[in-house]
Order: sequence, then C-alpha cells, then structure tokens
Amino acid sequence: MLPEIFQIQRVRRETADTFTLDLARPGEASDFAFAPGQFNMLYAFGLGEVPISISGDPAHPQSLIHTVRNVGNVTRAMCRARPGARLGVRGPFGVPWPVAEMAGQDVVIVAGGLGLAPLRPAIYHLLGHRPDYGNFELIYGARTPADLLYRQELQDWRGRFDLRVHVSVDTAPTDWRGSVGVVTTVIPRARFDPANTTALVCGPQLMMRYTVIELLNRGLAPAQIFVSMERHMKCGLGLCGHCQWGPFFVCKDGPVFRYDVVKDWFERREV
Amino acid sequence: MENLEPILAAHPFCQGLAPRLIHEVAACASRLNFTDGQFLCRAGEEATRFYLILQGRVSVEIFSARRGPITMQTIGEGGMLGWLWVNRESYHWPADTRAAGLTRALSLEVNCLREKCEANHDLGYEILKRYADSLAVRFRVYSLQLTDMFQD
Repeated sequence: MLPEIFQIQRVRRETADTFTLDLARPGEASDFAFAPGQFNMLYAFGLGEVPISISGDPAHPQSLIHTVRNVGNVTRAMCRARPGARLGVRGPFGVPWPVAEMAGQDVVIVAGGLGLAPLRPAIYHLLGHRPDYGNFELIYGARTPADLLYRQELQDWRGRFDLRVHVSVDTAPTDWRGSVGVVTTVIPRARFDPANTTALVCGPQLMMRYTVIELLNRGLAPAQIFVSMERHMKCGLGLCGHCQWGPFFVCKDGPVFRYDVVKDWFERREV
Repeated sequence: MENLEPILAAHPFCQGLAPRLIHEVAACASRLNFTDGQFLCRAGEEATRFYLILQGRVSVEIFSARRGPITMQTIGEGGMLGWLWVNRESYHWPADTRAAGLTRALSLEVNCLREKCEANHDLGYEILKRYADSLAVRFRVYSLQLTDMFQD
C-alpha cells in the first residue's frame, strides 16, 4: 500500500515536545473518512514512517489531524515541518472505539498524557450525538499542567453542562487551580451507573493498568472497558509481525481492544 | 449550638458509623470556612486538628528553595486532611495546606477524639479501620505518583 501525499496546512504547538498537524490533500478539497480511534502511518520522506492516531473530528473529514510527540528522528522532522511541507499518509488502520455500540449508556473516558489524542475523535463524536448517550465523564491526567494537550478545548468542554471534565496532574506549581493527584484518584468520584456504562481508556500502559483496576473496583465488568494499546507498528496490515502482542496484531486487531479479550495479556511481561 | 451529626454522618469518613459513635465524634467537631488562599495549617506547626472537607478543595504544598511552593496533592469534597495523628501523642504538620477557593470543612479536635477512642474501643476500632483504609489508598496513590506513570 503506497503512501498518499498530503500537505501540512497548519502546525500548532500543544506542549514543549508535542505538536498538532493539520493535513490536506494538495490542491483539492476531499474527505478522509475515518472512525474514532483509528490511526495512520505518517511518512517523513527519506526518514521513515510512524503510526500516529487521528485526533480530528470524524464529522469534519476535510482536514486530517494528528498530534505528534517529538520522540525520534521521524517525529522530530514532523514537529519541525512548516505549513506547505509534504508527508506521506497510509491509512486509516485499526479497530476503532465502539461509539455506536455505546449508545444509550453512560460513558467514562480516561486519558493520560498523549492518550487524549486518540480519544479526541470519540469525544467529538459523543458531543456531536449527545442525546444518544447518558452521563459523560471525561477524566484526563498528565504529569504537570504544562503537559496537558488541547488546553483551550478542555476549557471549552468544562463550560458545557452535558459533560463533566476532570483534569488532574501529578504535581503542579501553586498557581494551578485544578486538581493534583494521580488520574486514578478521580475515578471514585466519577458519576456513572456501573451496570450501564462503557469506559474508554488510553494512556501509558502503567496508567491504563491502574485505571482498569479502579474501574473494576467501581463495578464495571471487564467487557465494559476498552483500552487502546501501543506497539511498534510497521505495515499497518497485520503482515509484518512487528506489533504482535501474544495472539494479536495491534495494528489490525487493535489498537482498541475490549479489556476482557486482552486481560490475560495485559500484565504479561514477556510480550 | 449547631448539630453536626447529620453533616458528619454524610461524610465518607463517617459512613457506616453507628449513630451513638457519630454522637461522640460530633462532640469533638466544629465547622470552619476558609477563604481562597487561607492556610488550614503550616508545615512544622503542631497538628491539633484534622479536617473533613465538606465543600471546595485544599492544596497540600511543600516549599523548595529552588522551585518555590509545589502542590503535591489536592483534597476535595469528601476527603480528609491530617489523619496521621491517630497513634501519635504529638504530631506536626509536614506540609502547608491552604484553601483553593472557598472551602467548608469540619474540624476535629485531635486530643478530644483520641481520648474518646481510648475510652470507647468500639469507636477506636471504627476510627482505626478508616485510618488503615485511608493509609492503604494513600500508599497506592503515592507509589503511583513516585513511579511517574507518564514516563512509560
């Protein structure tokens, strides 16, 4: 599968090392349809290809949005790129968040750090179809206030009456007016009916592990929890085996998994 | 004098406590309001009270000469502050704590409650159960905080 050429329309700095890129096909306005939770393989020419979650609104597919953290040669080049620069795009790949199946239920979204990026399309979808869902709790944790993504949007979401937003950081300077404490401490305060709730979780694996424990403590069954996994994905098609995780290929069978399906593999050290 | 028993009974710390025990705890309790930025305690001061937060939020801060004040934790509605006194004769606050916005709390007199726990071991056992539970939760939270989950 060959990459398609896209042009960077806009670069927004989110944190010291994280940027959001708006991409579009050069010279034509056309849609890039995707489902919340899917990812693309982004190619920096001459350097390599990396899997990046799509973080835009699925109802506005004219602009293809990715939030990229500068952690290596390829992502460094992407974060330094300016509007007009070109990238290769393959995708969309992967199993999305089950937003249609969640209709009629309460929803708890728990994001840690950069994990808010793959969840943002699901948030857009839920807010765009708000009457279809019950209580909606968004819980977001980061190391410090400076590490929070999409700060203006978080502020806007806080102002809504149909969504409760909880933001917590591990440590903060004293001018931070929000909550301080690990993100898992917020879960006992979240409002939802455990019998009729779906939880979507994305973040570092350690954060997800303890978040799942807290959600189970609140009475959710493993089948009501969905996690988004990250592995070293290369082909995006389940052919190369780089992202194999036990019996799964994260690129093809994931990145979104129902927790009861993967729970035996979640804690395994050797995979 | 205001009857604080219903307010105490509604706080998570006292949930499940028999009314006669709530009655004993209420004898040590008073209601306090703190304005934004007002200190509930300062590091090094003797801890003569502990607090059950009813409304609002408090910030627990440590001071570093290089980094200035750093918020380590916030405690919101339903939380408690200063529970380490339970089996200590004398305890000093290890950190500053101040209100982040208007905060309403119940203040419990440490010596008063300790005497009641000694005199009535039913009460002592109930308080210690809650203490142990709170300690277990704090250990888990602090170990996660020290681990730095976002380093992953």
